[in-house]
Order: sequence, then C-alpha cells, then structure tokens
Amino acid sequence: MSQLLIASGAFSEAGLTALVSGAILVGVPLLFAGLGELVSERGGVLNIGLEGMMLTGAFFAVWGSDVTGSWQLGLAIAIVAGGLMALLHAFFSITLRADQIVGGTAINFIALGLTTYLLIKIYGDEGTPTDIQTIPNVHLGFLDGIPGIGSFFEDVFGRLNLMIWVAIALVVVTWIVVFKTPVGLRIRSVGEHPRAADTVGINVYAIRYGSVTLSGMLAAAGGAYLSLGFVGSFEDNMTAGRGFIALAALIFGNWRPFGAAAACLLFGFSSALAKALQEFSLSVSVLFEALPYVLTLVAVAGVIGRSIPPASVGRPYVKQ
Amino acid sequence: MTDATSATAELREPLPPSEATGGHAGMGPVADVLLRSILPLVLALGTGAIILAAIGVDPIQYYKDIWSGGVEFAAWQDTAMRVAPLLLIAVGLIVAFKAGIWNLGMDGQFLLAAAVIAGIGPRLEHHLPNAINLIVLFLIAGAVGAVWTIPPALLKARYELNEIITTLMMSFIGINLAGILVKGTFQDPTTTTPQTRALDFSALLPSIPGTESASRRWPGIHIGLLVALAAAVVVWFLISRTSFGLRLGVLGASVRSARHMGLDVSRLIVVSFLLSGLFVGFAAATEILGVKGYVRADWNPAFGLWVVPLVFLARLNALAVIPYVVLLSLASIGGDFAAQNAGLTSKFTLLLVGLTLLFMALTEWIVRRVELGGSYLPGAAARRARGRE
Repeated sequence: MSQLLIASGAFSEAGLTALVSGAILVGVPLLFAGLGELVSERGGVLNIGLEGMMLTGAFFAVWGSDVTGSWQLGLAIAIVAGGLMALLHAFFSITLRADQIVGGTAINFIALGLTTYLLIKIYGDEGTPTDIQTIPNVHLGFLDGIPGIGSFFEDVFGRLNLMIWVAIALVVVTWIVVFKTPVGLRIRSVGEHPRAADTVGINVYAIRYGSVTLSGMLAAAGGAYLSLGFVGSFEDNMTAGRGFIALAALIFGNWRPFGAAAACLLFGFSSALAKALQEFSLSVSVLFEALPYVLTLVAVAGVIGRSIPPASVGRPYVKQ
Repeated sequence: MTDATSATAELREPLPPSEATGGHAGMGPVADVLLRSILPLVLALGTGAIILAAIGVDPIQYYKDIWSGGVEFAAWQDTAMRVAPLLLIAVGLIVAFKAGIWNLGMDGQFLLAAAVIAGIGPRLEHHLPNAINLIVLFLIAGAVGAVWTIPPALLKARYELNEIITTLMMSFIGINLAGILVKGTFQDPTTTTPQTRALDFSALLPSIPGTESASRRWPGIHIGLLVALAAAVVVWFLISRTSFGLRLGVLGASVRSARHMGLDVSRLIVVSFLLSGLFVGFAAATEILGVKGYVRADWNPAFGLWVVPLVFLARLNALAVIPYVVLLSLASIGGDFAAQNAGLTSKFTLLLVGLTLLFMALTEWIVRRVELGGSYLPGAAARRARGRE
C-alpha cells in the first residue's frame, strides 16, 4: 500500500499539491450540496433530490452565462433554478405530505430528463460553447514566494476558484446561522419536534419551505461550481452521483457543518487518491472511490460514535 | 437516543400510501383503482404531451412512435424480454415495501449479481450440461443479490438503523465492486475493453418454444420471462394468501403492532430483505443469461429506480404490477426510437417517469381529501368526522 503511494508519487511535493488540489476540487461541490442537505434535514425534510438539484444548477449556470454573457447572472440563474426544483420538492413533501423519498426520486428523474433534453435541444451534439464566461479564480498574491516553504501554498491556495472561498465561508455562516441565531433555533426545532415548535407559535410549514428551498439553492451552487467554475461546460449527467455522496458526507459529519466539511474534504481526498492510483492498481483505486460509502456505512452503524439524525426527519407534519 | 430511535421507527412507516389511509373508505374499489392507479399515469402522459407540444414536437406522433418502436417488427420481443428483469425487480421491491422496508439498494444488488455470473458463466461452460449451468448461475445471482442485503438487514433488525441510507451506501459499494470484478478478476483477456468474456450464444437461456422465427427475423423470447411471471404469481400468493404475507403486512403497517402481536420482527426484517435481494439477483440473471451475455464496466441500466413508481401504482400487488411493467418496457424500448425521431434525447422518458411519481403523490392527496369529506382534519379528528357520516 505504502509502496503504491510512493510509486504513484503521492509523497512528492508535486504529488501532494495535486492531491490536495484534487481533494478541494472534488470536495467543494459536495460541500455546497452537503450544507444544503444539512439545512433541509435540520428542518425535518429529507432531500434525496439533491442530485437532481445539483444537476439543474450545473446546467442552468452554463446556459445562463452563455445567454447573459456574465458568470454572475449565470450563477444567479442556476441558484434560482435549483430553488424552484426544491420548491417543487417542498410542495410535495410539506403541503401534500407525500413520501419524501418519492418526491426526491421524482426530482432526480425530472432533472436528468430535463437537463439532457435542454442540452441536446439548445446545443445539439457540439456541447455547450467553450467561450462562455466562467467563475474566476482568486489570485492571492501574498502567497507568492513566501521564503522557506517552497511553492506548496502558492500552488494549492494561490489561485483557487472564487466558489471555493465562498464554500469555506458558507461552512462558518451555516454554523453560525443554524446554531447561534433565532432562525437556526427555529429550523432545528421544526426538525426535532414540530408539534412543540408549532405550539410556541413557530410557523412549521414556512420554516420547512424555507429550509428546503435553501437546500436546493445551495445544491445548485455546488452544481454551478462543477460546470461553470471547474470545467467550464455542461455534460449529460455530469454530477454522476455527487448528490448522494454529499448526503453521505452530511451523515458522516453527524449533521454538523464542520463535520460535514471535514467529511467532504476526506471524500474528496479519497477520490483524488483514487485518481492518482488508477494507473498503478485498479482495484486499490476503486477501493478509494468506494471509501466514502464504506465510511458512511461504518459511521451510521455506530462504530465511530453515534450519528443521530434530527428526530423528525422524513416525517410530514400535520397541523392540528 | 430514544427520540432518534422513534424517528427511524417512524421512517419505515410512511410507506405505502394505501396502507396509511386504510384502503377505500367512502369510495368504490373501481373509483379507487381509477383514481389512484390509472389517473396519475394519464396525467403524466397528458403533461408530457403538453410539454412536447410546447417544444414543437407532435405528441400524438411521439406516443405513436413509442408504440411502433416498442412493438412493430421484432421489437415486441425486445419489449417482452425487458419485462423479465423489470418484473423481477418489481417483485423484489414488493416483498420489501410490503414489510415497510425501503430497499433502495437494488441497483448495486443487480449489478453485482450481473458481474459475478457474467464472470463465472464462461468458466462453467462446457463442463456441465447447459441446463444445470444456467440453474447454477441463476442461483448464484440470487445469492449475491441476497447477500448484499445482509448488512442493511442486520443493522436494521438489530440496531433499528434506517435502511434508506444503508441500502443506498451498499448500492454504491456494490456498483464499485462490480467495476473491480469486471475490470480485474473477470476481465476478458482477449480485449482491452473493460468487459467480461461473453457467454457462448448456445449457453444463453433458451427461447420459449414458438417465439423464434428466422423468416420473420424474430430472435425469440428467452424463458426468463416465464421465470419472472412465475415469481410474480408466487409472491402474489405469498403476500395475499399466506400467514407469512400477513405478518409482512402487519410489520409494514406498524412495527409496534407487529411487536405487540408477538411477531419476531428481526427475523421478518431479515427474511424480507433476503427475499428482496434474491429476486433482484434473479433479475440480473435474466438480463445477463437471456440478453447480454457479458457485462461491460460502464454498463449500469439503473432499472431499480425506474420500477419504484410502478410498484406504488400497483399498490404493492405483484400481479397488478405486470401491466405497468409491460408499459414501462414498451416505453424504454420504444422511447429510444421515438426520441430519435423527434430529435430528442431518450432521457425524455425519464421526465415521464418523474411526472408519474409527482402526479401519484398529487392524486393521493386529493383522494385522501375526498375520503375525509373535503376536510383537512387529520388523524383522530378525521376519523371522528368519518364516523359521523
């Protein structure tokens, strides 16, 4: 195993830079979606349509940037589109009290069908245009040439995409909002004990609508980073299950922002490692690819502490 | 922890909408079937037609193309063969859903079973009579599917862990593991394409007598279809005519009642999971031994999720699900042709499946309101209101 790591150059400085950068690149879209799922589940609604909402965001970011000629508007359109998808999920799971798995699955189907259809309809076989305005990188000049530590910091952190910094800020913001503000208390209370929340005058439906919609907007921002920030184009089903990994990361992170962020980076690292190892050993590489799922399974099985979901997640609330 | 336990216990309960509302109070069974099982489909097709018209595609032509692409020439045979895996997965889901268990790991169970028998199949060839080979491979596929449900089953039975997450995780692990097997252990040494060795044509499932015709270019329908139909009958009988089925139903309706009645809940959970995985494994066997003959690393038909809406529309009845499965097979075989003709992507069919799910939830809500006499009042208040009628 360690020989493999050495052989693959993971321990050289260039290898390490590539691994850390890879972990960030893979982890950041997960982070947006994972934080979205956190808000939704803390509010008591399981959002299994995360994958579809990411995909929606990924498409509409590219389309929006292409049509308006500005990445800011592209990103905004993506977030609105993701929010609308989430609103659909909210309507079905909160107002109609439909099963949340059924609603989320429907969202995933519809998003995949819709984005693929639009991709072919608008852009045909050539794919999305290559000259669209993408989300810029942020150049931190002060990291250049810090003496003594080589170029590691400069290479890894010097030119990160704007969305990466936004994601990092969002982790802190989510933590503050969910755990330190009255709004956060309301969200958590409707997720733990909606009846009690209702009794003290909290509008359970409004809070749940808000948290589900926000989750869709965040997931869409993650998708937008993937398409408009990272590769600069949209491909058919480009999220490829990342929504489900984000769901896993949230569980592995025990429904907490910093926990989820650590899980996203860990999963990103494992995926970057899988990529680096691909040409040396296929099976080891695939093992690292499956690691997030194994770790999450182990985590929910209670081997590493106990992960406890919000008490009312998945249960529709009926006002009396 | 007690709170979390009750949450996970509740999570199993919101299942089948039919069970939740206790069937057709205040409405005839015919109206019930029309509203709950047929209306959602009609609404989805109608909305699909509106969407098609809006984007400038003639909806009538599109649906006609689905029909001709799925039925004309030899296509009806492809449609019939597609029924086999879909029906077996549906049957597997019914066994689990009836017990209130969300087995969402069917894609991993399916792909892993497919990879294992596609790898072992060519090695067994020519050693034993073909019939025995096929039976052995069928059983192996079933066993792989069943084994892959054991971790979620035990975690749920022993620690009351929510199976939605565990089965999803097992599904992804299964898909990855199937990838390792296909690219590694079972890789066909004669090609660089990551795929298993293909089974000999003669080693595939035989055709149902009379369905083959060289003059009409019919390839023949493999007997996997009969296996699937038989499985549907068996499961229908098991669930509606045996005490085991009754016990599954009680568990699905309420875990607490099941415990109160003295049922061995843990054992029921494990058995229901195993049966579910067994049928999903069989589904993989019909597809590999009947149609494909090999597995390529990038092959993942994701049949599992397609089937979920059908199972609910059929209200967890293994016989009633058959016409829906036929319809879905038709849509999946004919949909490609129709989409191609209309200049759309074949994923457009997914949109229809998603819409069906949403309309199902919508009609369920309306039906429930009608049943409650137009009242929003849930629970006890509604029961009181209904009692007065």
